[in-house]
Amino acid sequence: MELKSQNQYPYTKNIDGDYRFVTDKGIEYIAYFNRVPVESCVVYNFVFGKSTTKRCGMDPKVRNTILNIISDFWEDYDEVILFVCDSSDGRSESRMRLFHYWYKILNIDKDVVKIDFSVDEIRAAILAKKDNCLLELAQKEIQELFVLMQGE
Amino acid sequence: MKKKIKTKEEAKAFFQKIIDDKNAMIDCIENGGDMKTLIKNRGIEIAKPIPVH
Repeated sequence: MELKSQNQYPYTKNIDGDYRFVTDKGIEYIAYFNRVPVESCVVYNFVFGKSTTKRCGMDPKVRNTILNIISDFWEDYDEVILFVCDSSDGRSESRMRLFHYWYKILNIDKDVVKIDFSVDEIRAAILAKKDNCLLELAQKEIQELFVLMQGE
Repeated sequence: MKKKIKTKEEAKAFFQKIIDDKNAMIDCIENGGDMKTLIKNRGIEIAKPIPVH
């Protein structure tokens, strides 16, 4: 994938399921893909965090590395990735914009699909390769949950 | 196969659990906590990547 050649940090992927990298400022980032069974399909929730609560400023190499981790995950496992936005701090809108931005970069080869879902305060999106045979099922099952949440 | 979610409350709880697990893991990373214990206690399953040798 084109992303591989971009400016990024080297990362390790470890047997416990964590992906790790350290920035030029010495901040460690750790990422996981949590297995989430829906009904008959399984999706993977992407989680990442940094080893400090301080704001670290914009670092494009962090974004590139995170996107490469997602791309790497798809090389190991052709699975559907789920993003669910936390709205408790009023930043769900900006998180969804970030996911959309990531999607546009990941979709550089036009082979990635993003499907958005929202109801009330809950917003989510799934990302998958276009040829993923589970994409349709995952979309159907997630959509059914959002329909349920729309009910009285 | 997972038990079918049939109610609005169950559907909301499904997504809230995903958010709560994610936030707990982010807190754990930020505070240098014991991720293995957190994952075990919350019943989180992590995808195991294929290591590069």
